[in-house]
Amino acid sequence: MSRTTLATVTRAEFAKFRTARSYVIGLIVLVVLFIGMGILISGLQNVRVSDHHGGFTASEFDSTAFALIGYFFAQFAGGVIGALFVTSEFATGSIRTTLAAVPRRGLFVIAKAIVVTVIVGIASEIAAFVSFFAGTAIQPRSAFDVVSNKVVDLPIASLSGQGVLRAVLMSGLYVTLLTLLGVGLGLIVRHTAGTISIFVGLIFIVPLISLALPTGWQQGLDKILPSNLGQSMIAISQPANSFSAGPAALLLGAYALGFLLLGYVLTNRRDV
Amino acid sequence: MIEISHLTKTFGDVTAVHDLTFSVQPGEVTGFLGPNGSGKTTTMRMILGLHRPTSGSATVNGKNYRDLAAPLTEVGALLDAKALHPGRTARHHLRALALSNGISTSRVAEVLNIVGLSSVADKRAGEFSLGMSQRLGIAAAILGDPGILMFDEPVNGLDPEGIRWVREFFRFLASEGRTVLVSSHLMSEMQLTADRFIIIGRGRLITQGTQDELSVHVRSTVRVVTGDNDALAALMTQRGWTLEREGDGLHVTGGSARDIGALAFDNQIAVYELSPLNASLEEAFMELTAGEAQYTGKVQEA
Repeated sequence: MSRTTLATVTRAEFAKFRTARSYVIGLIVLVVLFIGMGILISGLQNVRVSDHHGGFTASEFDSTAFALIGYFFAQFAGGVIGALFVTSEFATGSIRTTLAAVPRRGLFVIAKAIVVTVIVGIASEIAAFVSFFAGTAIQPRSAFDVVSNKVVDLPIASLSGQGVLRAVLMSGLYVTLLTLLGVGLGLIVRHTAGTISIFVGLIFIVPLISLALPTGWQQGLDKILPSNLGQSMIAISQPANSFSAGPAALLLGAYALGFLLLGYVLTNRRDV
Repeated sequence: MIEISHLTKTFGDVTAVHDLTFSVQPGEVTGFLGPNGSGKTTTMRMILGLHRPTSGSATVNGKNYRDLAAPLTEVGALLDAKALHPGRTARHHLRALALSNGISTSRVAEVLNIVGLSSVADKRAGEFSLGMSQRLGIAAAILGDPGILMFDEPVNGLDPEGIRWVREFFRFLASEGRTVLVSSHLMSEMQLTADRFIIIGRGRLITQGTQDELSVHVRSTVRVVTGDNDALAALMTQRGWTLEREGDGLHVTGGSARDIGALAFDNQIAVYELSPLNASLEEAFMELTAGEAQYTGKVQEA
């Protein structure tokens, strides 16, 4: 006797992710951006240290941050994948076919979230580790430091270093949580272009708005912006006015969950 | 069995479906007829739990659609043939649907074979013609071997061979004891397929019944040409039949060809022509739904 359960619906959503080209391409873009930007920025450090006129401050060399910089670019690919995985159902009208097969809409929302979390989560973590190893491997080993006025060895990060493993894992987690946020946003907005615009706005525009606020508000808002939470999550030493990695990840997780929950409530209420 | 009870749906201040009550029985094909915009699709969406009724209820096998354990094994529906991801192949589309309801994936190849799409199973559904999409939609509907089937305008885009095939296929499904509801805005199409009709207009039930029951709405006229039309006309008028002069003959409503023939014979009037001009069920449908069409066009007279 067949039954529709979370397991069967999740299996179906996995199959749907694998069999549509757009999501697979999105996933490839995510991994390439993550690793590619890590390698590019790490490699460019060699140019920086060899430019003696520019002046190089060794204490500002953040090996982990350079190697993982790709997370910032990968989050957009993640957001698009998450959004598209939902909005394409509305755009093509396939949402009716899907919800006629799975009328319990909570199952539909949870299954979408599980599939995206697992697939993007694994891809992002793999990309984070590859990016970290490749990036650190090609970073310059020494440089002329303008502060001490001599050639110094640069601190290349290794996984055993304080907070480094956490930073690598957190960079993958950040991209995954932003992808989930994209799923929630997609459920709320239902239109692809609108969803992606709002997503990009959250990352790029809200920080700009924050600049126009009084200093007190600005500090409060900056602390909780998704992009700054991301910086907190992968920082080895916490910058001023920011959460430490754990609470930052929890808060970002709460955002993603909040969007998903609102998405579920609306999906459950609306006619399709 | 589908049961609709006092079903009403409003969108803002537009009433799409108004106090609709009917049931669809197993073992026959039920034609769901109405002009465009009369609420057929909205009603079907409410049956499938896609739209929430404003009031009233729609149940399948006595249950709300959302409470079905494995919906595709109880109700199969084709609402919109193009409602699928165009990038996915026909096989993958059906496979995902089967997986979602825990239906054996071996069923996918079977249904593709039944609807005649085996050779294009691995082509992307976005490349399908409307007719092929309809077949894929029918494959999806029968995937879970359900006892209830609903098809919304399934013949759109089908070629004549395809139309004949769906007709026979729907009749076959009903003969197996399934409940089959097929919507259409063309009575001429449904006349050949359906045993029973539900006719709606502007979201309200106009009438329902079997083909015979609906025939009472069909006015039948008889054309008669005789050696003495005037004499016959006088006799017929006495009997309360209505008539119109048309060319060299009379068009009579109220008496059958048999009655008219006998009347002429009794009065020794030579009959040259006597032919029933049966209005079709289609014309009855057009008349029944005449004030009810949401969108009407006018032909400009020259």
